[in-house]
Amino acid sequence: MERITLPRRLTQTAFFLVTGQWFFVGFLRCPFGVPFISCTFCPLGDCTGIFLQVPFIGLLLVSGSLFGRVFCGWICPLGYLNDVLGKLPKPRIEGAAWFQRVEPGLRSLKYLFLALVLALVVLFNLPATRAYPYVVRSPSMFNWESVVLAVKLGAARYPIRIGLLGFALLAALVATRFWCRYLCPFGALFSLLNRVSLWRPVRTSACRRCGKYPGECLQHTTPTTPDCIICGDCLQGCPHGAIELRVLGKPDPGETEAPDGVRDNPDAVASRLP
Amino acid sequence: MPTHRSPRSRLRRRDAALILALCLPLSVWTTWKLFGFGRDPLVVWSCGGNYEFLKEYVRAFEKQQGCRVRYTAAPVQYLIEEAAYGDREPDVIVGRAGPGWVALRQSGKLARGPVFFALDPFGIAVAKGNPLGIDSIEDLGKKGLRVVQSPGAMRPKGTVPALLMAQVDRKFFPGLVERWENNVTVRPKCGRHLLRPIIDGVADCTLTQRSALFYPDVRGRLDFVSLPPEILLALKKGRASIPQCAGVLRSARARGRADLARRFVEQLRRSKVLLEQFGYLPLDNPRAKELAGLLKVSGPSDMPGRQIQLAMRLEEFGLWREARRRYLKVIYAFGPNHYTARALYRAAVISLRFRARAAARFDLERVVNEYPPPSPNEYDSRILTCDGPIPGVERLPYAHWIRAARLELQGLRRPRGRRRPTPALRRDPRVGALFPVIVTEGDPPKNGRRELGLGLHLLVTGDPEFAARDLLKVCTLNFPSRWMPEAEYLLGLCARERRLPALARKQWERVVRNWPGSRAATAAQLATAAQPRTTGDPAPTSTGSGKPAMPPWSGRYDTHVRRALTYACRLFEHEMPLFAFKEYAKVLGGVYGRATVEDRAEARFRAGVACTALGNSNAAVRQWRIGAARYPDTEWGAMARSRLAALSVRPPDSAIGLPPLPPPAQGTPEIRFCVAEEFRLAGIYDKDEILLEYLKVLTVARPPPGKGARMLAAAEFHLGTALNRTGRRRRALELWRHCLEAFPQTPWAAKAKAALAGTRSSGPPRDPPDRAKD
Repeated sequence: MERITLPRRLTQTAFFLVTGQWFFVGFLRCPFGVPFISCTFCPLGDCTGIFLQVPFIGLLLVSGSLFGRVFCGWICPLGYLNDVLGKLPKPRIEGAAWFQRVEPGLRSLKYLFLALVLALVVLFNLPATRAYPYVVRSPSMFNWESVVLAVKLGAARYPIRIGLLGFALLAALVATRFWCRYLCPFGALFSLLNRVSLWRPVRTSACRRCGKYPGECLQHTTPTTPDCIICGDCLQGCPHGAIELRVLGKPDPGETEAPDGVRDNPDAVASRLP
Repeated sequence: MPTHRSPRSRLRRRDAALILALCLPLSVWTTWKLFGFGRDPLVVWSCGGNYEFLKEYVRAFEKQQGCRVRYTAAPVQYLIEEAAYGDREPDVIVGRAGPGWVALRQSGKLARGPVFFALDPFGIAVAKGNPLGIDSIEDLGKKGLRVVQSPGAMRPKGTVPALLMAQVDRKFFPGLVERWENNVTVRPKCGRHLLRPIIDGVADCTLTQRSALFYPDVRGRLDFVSLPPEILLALKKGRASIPQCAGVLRSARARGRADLARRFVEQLRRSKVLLEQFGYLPLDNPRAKELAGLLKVSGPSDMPGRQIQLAMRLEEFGLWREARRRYLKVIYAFGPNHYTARALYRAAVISLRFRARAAARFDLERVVNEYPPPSPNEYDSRILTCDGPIPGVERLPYAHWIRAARLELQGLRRPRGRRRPTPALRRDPRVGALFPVIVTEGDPPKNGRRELGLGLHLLVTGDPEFAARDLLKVCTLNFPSRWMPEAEYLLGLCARERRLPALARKQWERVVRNWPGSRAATAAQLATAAQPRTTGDPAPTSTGSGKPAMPPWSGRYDTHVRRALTYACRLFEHEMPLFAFKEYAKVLGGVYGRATVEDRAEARFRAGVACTALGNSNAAVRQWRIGAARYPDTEWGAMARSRLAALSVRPPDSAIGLPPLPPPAQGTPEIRFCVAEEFRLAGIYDKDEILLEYLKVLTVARPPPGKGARMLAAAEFHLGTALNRTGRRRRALELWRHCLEAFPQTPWAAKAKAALAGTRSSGPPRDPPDRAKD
């Protein structure tokens, strides 16, 4: 593995092991894909999420302000699982012409989803820390009884969340990082922060406009777009070494921001698809 | 130009191998552990409050018995409901002694228990060393104290302290609950954080159960002031949180673990060291022995359900206004409960009878928009009370009332002009800021917030007279409530709506004088400025107005009886002599506790004045005759004699033939019966208030069928008589017939028979057409 991919994989694995609650308490017991974000709606009482939720959200916002969507590429356990599932063989949908036509529209869906989530928070006046007064507790991590009681006590919220997580994982088998690219509301928030973050990837004057980005970008994007998760694959993989991470994404003097390579050279897209 | 070689295929193989190597064994291990393959553990459920203790106990039990226990903690009411009616059953349930155990027993699923193993008494948590010297529950009302109060959803930590304070207020220290409420400075969102503000020095004390001081993060950092047993034993509602018990379910036997389950429960009683370590009192502890009277399963009565039953009976007899108030009382007086959607819907239907379309629309929209509430709710539980089903009050799902409300709303045409009609009152700054008052589970039954909510709803929906009744309670019965400035201001609005401008002005001036600088005072100043000065509506206390003179009242609040007397006098001030008479009757009947001779004499005299204001001089004479005969040595007895002399009536020589003394014990159904009897003996049938009082005996205060048969028969017979007197013979006949059939052994059956025979000779029964009696 190259100089960035290896540390990224190690970071992702480490965060998956530390924050990936499925590992500790079983898939069904914590159906919340992004750690500590939705603990408010969880009736399980003895979970690290309760204590980590507020500082973790603060950390996310700080990381978003500094590096944009770096969380998605380096930390998020759901993103990690999506990466892993993305490695598996899948139907050739992403290369289809019809998919290419609807793809830009699909990318906007996540903003709609973010707006919907925010509207729900405002409409239902949801509290920041705990919306649910009742909790289910169990000293043993693997207790099927507590899972069933939590699902029942959590009413519709729990099955909905399990369903969404299941969908996110299944969709990753069809299109790489489907959830992250098209639906994740947190991803949408970070995409917005990508535009204003302190460090951003830019194309330097060495860029030849060849349009050949390394084929490993699972997000199927280019470094200067809001959907970039700063995975670093393009930084290490650009044949001309023309992509760098810079403060405020300032290009070289005399160099204007290069246009999106995918749009420059549509043929390059096909070469990157499985 | 360098060329780029995609590393995709190489990475894919490597990653796939990594995934398989890591995740497959993990998944197998997780599934194996989660489903507990290869073991047969004992399944234990417990109340969340027992978690810390039981976690340790389970560990010790597993070690000692060499078995596995699969333990889960959650709200015990929910767990018991799941075990009783759901599809999952544990082997053992541990929790507080709530009414769920009765349901569990009735469902046939309880094999053994509940076995009591410890007590968790309530007390006051204070800072280490108790620097403020808090040594009794009365100290919680000290001015300047900073108190922490927990949310109501956490029943033992939130609701029970409020119930305990209300009970202590009622029995021992009048006004304590309001003073305690006024001292609350911190309200953490979670009961688990109740003690943190005391440790941090931002609060001084809180009322909580003893075991809370043994949570790992607070252990040893606070002191606990115990409450005397008579206070805890006085707790009527919520006392089930104190005793801790456990039961074995039949499913344990079916799974072949009955013996292990029995040992689990038995050993709980013997784990004294562990119990004490977690703050519980083992049963052989001397303090626990003093509280032995609490070792029984108990639960509250279904009071909202009974109130619905009363409201339905009131509708049956055409007392629409009172029925509407009772429905709204279900929402405001009892806090969140299963019947609120139904109550709102029925209140709206009655509003429609009075053509109060805006009020009806408002209530119906609330049903559609606010229901069903986010579930699950403890108050929606089927096992919350020990009462069986209440006749005629079946538990219908929320969807039923929502559907009905939608249908009614479809029939309601939107008025022209504004899209959403807003009555002028709702645009008032204080009304707009307060309305609607949402009563939560944690609001104590006393403190005035519930009465304020009810009064405000009645005012906004067009019933200022009844609104004034409830708002006056805030200022008198709930003295010193933090809601008093608002209530006094709203009373001004009530008076204005009732076309009593002078009284309205007086109310607002009182607000400005007593609470200067408050928001209510600002609103009162504005209202006074907008009100044209008038000399109208002379106060009933003024002698020159032609209205009877009520002697000035002291405005004392030191006992509940004194508060009630002040309340009655203020009702009279607000030109509601009928309701003032009712309050005097309640004082005499003992509703507010045992009254002194002086208080009783005063109540009797003032009741006479109220009767005069009602235009019922015979009733007034009766009150004064009783007063003069029974309390001859008091100032009020002398005043009664002088009034009788003015009317040229000779006072009786002795108290023979007067109502019996002493009044019945507090909390018994006889009290309600006595109040109804005061109305009957005084011959006061105004506004059908007498019907309400007898109906209360038959519904909300219903005595047990065996012991209370005589009282029930008497109430039914007199209710029939009252209906007959007010021209509703058909209803009267139905009641007499029912009295005859249901209580044949009582003397009232014979009287009913005679009454029925008497009416046969006077032609067929005939009721007036259905009319709004109020």
